[in-house]
Order: sequence, then structure tokens, then C-alpha cells
Amino acid sequence: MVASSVLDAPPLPSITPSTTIAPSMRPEMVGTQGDQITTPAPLTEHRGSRKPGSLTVLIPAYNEAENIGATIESLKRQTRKVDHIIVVDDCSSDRTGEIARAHGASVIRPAKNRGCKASALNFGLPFVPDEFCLAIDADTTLADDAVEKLLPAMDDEKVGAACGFVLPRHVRTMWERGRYIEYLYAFTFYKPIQDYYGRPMIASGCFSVYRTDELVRLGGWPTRTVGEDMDLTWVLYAEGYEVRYVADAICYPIEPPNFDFMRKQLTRWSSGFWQCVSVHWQDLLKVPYLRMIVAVALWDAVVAATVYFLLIPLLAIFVHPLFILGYLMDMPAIAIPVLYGAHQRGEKWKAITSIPAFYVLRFVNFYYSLKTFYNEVIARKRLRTFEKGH
Amino acid sequence: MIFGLPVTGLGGLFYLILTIWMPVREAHRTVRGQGCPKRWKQIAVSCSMMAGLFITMFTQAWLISMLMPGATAMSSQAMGTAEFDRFAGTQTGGLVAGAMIVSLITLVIVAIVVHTLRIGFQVRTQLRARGAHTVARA
Repeated sequence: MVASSVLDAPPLPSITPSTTIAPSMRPEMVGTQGDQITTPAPLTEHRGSRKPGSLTVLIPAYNEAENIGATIESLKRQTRKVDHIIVVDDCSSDRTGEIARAHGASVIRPAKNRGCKASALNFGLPFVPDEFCLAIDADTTLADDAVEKLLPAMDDEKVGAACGFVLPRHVRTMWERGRYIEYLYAFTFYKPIQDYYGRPMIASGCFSVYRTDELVRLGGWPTRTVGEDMDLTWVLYAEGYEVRYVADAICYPIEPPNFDFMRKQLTRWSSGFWQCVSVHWQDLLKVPYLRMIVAVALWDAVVAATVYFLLIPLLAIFVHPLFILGYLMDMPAIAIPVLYGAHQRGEKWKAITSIPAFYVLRFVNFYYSLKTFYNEVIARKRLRTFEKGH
Repeated sequence: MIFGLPVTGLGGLFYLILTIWMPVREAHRTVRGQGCPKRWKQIAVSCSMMAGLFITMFTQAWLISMLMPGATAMSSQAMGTAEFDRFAGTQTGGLVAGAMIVSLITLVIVAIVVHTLRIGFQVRTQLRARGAHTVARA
């Protein structure tokens, strides 16, 4: 949510279990002189017990004047009432805070830009008064029944987080179409299998719910990697929690509409993955299923990408030109889960016409996957800059 | 974000195995009185999709063998599954079987590496704990 700032990466503090708020567990969770807390209703740092079943939505926002209104309105339309909406206006230079306030949200604004989305979320965390904290992106709207569908997953005390189905709000440009297919495939095919085994690889940062007390106890969202959602998901697994994926709870983020934003987002996601693996590999080895899910993802990120860039062209040049068809080999296999997911939403034609864009996006995706592997693992040049993905 | 080549990469085979294992695991749960109709529905959907993927994989291999029979035979030869085609009288079975075998061997190697790391790490932790205990007693 924050443009081009350098990440702080403090070590995780040692934390003792607590049921009350301790707002200063991370440096970014401490308010400083100049922080503004402007709200329609009184908002203070919360201390004490939380009302069971209550829900706060926390929205980090940086220059989201165009989108924040729609996001808040979608929250107000929810069939399951949201108790509080808090927007962390991370020193936007546009009217984000003003618009959020006009739509009825509580707005807090730090004195200085927080540097990354995780830090902005952590700034807002001490103000969350409710049992559950739903984090959503400022450009993400929800289906009207999304909260109603998502929240029951948290009834089980063993569940530390739950996430929903993600679909791009706009499917117009080639990049949005490619992402639309990517999401339809992943959330229709991979994610339900991961959920069956109780190990979704990631609770998507654009729409996930957590237990507030546990979030506070764990020190909030980790700022040591650029993949804060994956990092937090794996922290929860290490703590013995389960994570759930609820396919019926749907959210609609705005995806990168052009190559420049897509490049930034893919770089951040891929770097985040490698950083999370380097931070968590020892804990991951203890988590059944997840360790293999991650190992296979690692293998494919490097080997499949190399096959894509080297082996197929070499075979086409030296063996038979028709080997170039290898690029389209898996089209029918991709089409089946995609068309199943699209059929359920009455979007078959949109899916069929978007499939070619998926191949362009995948080519770019593999390039950035290999590039970040080189930067993060071989050259040890860690990405520390958090850039907005749209 | 999707890593790797969906379906045809190692991930494809891994998720295939996870899908095949789902009804077995759920049947075991059901026998123990922990069955859930909603989960069976999800398993049916995943298994149907996987069946569709299998059918398309074979159809595609057949199409490739029609388009470039020489290359298909060469691939089967390279993967050591040409005998399969001669035995079964097909041009495509060897290609699909070869791809599956290569992926399966790779997956087994990845699994062995992961579990060796896990066991090695577990042993190291236990040895350290024992060492710390001995020092404390001394």
C-alpha cells in the first residue's frame, strides 16, 4: 500500500501469551507525536476484553482516493454486520482519508509513511477493539455475503486465519485477463485441495480474517519480508494453528492493469516467496503437507521456468519445430478447472477469451520467478522496497 | 500467485496424488465417524476435474503423435518407454507414461530430500537438547 519506501526489518520480539493488548510490541505499533486519529466515533487504543464474535475491518491505504469509497460501501452492504471499519491512511497525498471519513470509516494517520503494508496494518492493530480482525486491501470490494460466508470458519478455535476466493474486479486489459485465469485456476483447483489437507499455502493479504488477540501476541504482520501475508500464514502454522480457505467468500481486488504495475507486483510476490522460505524453512519441515506443497512450488519455480525458457526452444531448434507447441501443451488441462470455475459464475466466454492472456502472463511470471531466484538466493540481493502493485 | 507449470509440471503430478489420496483419507475418516458430506462433495469435484485432466492429457498426446510422429517416438525412446508403445500398440501411451514416470521419479527425489532434511534437523535438535541437559547436570 506504500510507494517506494525502504523496509525496516526488526527481529521478532520475544512475546509471552497475553489476552490484553500490548501496543508496543513492534516499533511501528507505537504511536508518535503527530499521528492523527480522526473518526466519526471515538477511537482509542484498545485495552481489555473483546466482545465475542465481533469484527473489525482494518484497511491500509496509500493514495487510494479512487477506490476507498467503493471498498467501504461494500463493507456496509455486508449481510453479516461489520462492527468497526478502520482505515490506516498511510500519509496519502490525495484525499484518501477524507473520503474514507465521509463514507463513515474511522481514520488513523501516522505522522510518517510506514514504509510497507505490514507496518501500516501494525499501526492500526492496537486500535482494533473486536475479537476478529479482517484485513482487506483498500482497492478490494467484497461480495455482499463474503463476511457471512468467511467468518464461520473461525468458529473452530484451532483456526488462526481464514481467506476467501479472489477474482479481479476488472477484466479488461491483457494483464487483468491473465490474472483472471490464474486466479480461477488456483482458487478452483489448487486451493481447495490445499484446504482439504488443512494447509492453504497462503491466506491472501487482500482478504483474510484473523484472531486479534493472537495477532497482537505474535507481534502483528511481519515486516521482515515483502510477502507479509505468506509470512504471517507460515507463522500461524508454526504456532500450531490451522488456516482455512472458504471458496464461497469472494473478494474483488483491482489487479495491475499494465506491465509496469504487473512487473512490480510479480517481483514483490516472487521475492516474498523466497524470503519467506529462507525465514521459515526449519519450521516448514515440521508441517505435514505444507512442506511438500512448498518444496514442489520451489522446484517448479526454478526447474519448470528453466524448461520454459531453455528446453522448449532448444528442442524446437534442434529436434523438431513443432516442439514449440510445448508452450501450449497444458492448455486443455488448464481450461478444465478454469471453465468449471467460470461456469459457476456464468462467465464462460470471458474465461475462454482470456486464456491466451494467461500464457503471456505466465511467460512474464516465469521470467520474474527466475530473476528473483537469482537475486534473492544466488546474488543475495534482497528486495527491500515495497512498491504498490497497481 | 502460481509457481511452475500448472498441471504438466511437478505440481501437476503432486496435486494429482493429493487428489487420489483424498477419497481414501475421507473414507478412513468416515469409518471413524468423522465423515462430512460437504467434504465428500468437494472430493467429488476435485476428482472429476482430475479425471478431465487425464482425458485431455491422453487426447493431447494423441494429437501430438498425429502432428509429429517422429518426435513422439524420439521422446518415448529418450524416456525409455518406447517398449510400452510396442507392447500396447499405441503411439501415445509411451509419451504419457514416460512423462509421468520422469515426473514421479523427480517427485520422489524431492520428497526424499525434504524428509532427509526434516529428520536431520530433528536429530540435530535432539542432540543439542541432550547436550544442553548434560551440561546443566554437570
